[in-house]
Amino acid sequence: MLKPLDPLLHSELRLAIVSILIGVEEADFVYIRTETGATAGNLSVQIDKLQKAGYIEVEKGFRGKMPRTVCRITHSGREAFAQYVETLKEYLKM
Amino acid sequence: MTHDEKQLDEHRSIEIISKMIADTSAHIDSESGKHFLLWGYTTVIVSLFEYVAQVCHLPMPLCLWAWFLIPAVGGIGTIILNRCSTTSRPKSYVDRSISAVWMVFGLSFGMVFIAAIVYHASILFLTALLMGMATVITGKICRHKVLAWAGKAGVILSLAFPLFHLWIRENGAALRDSCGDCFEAVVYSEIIIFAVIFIIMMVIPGHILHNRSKHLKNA
Repeated sequence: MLKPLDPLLHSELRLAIVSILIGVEEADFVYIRTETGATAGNLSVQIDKLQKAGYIEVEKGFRGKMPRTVCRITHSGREAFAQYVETLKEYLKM
Repeated sequence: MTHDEKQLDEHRSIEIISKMIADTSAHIDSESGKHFLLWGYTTVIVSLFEYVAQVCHLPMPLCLWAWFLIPAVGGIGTIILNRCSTTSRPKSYVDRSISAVWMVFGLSFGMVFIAAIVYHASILFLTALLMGMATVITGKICRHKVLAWAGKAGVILSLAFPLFHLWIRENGAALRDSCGDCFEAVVYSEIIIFAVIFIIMMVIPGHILHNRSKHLKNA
């Protein structure tokens, strides 16, 4: 019996966000929006969901006079991603 | 239907993960050349000015203070480059490691600079050696072969300074007799060696990295 894929990560935009953050120390909102091609509103909602799940942490600050939101993956986010990839491998072996 | 609600299959998941990781890696690489160009060109221009100033016997304080233009222009330029970065580039572990390497080598250079004055050691040799070592480490961290080889070349070429001093010590008297007035120009040519090392170690790899990043951005 195959394990179910983490529903929080098994969504196109949330998976894209976590995939970006897995390889970097931090990335800002503008960068993630550009890379994923998502709208600001939708991206905010998905970031909020990942933050509430404890997968990412969000820091709001300023770069000069411009507001800047920075996202970082947490330890549990990293573990959840690794588990998601492992489960995905099982599915692909079928 | 929002982006979030799109149905995902396993293959699409793998596709998203691969694409996002590959795109982010490309962005991590993209700006590395500018800092090498800034520090490389500043060092080369100041060195050439120094050579002319020494050979033409410009007033001594001016000659000595001109060397401080390298950290001043390089430091201010680095701050401006970091602030003017138009793209909101992600910050990686590689960025942090490279910053740490240059901070440590920068501080070490400060200590070495003071020690070199006290012990009358060759600052040009120590500078080329330390900066060569930092460039090799940066090249290894970024996995840029050109940068790593340029740094190695810098480390090896720094040996030119003790060899040059040895040569001057052995042949100084004969040179003074044969060259006459141009003897000083020969002695100060170690500054030219310094400039050449920085062209090989920073300017050339800086241009290669910069062109590569432009190519990646246009792709």
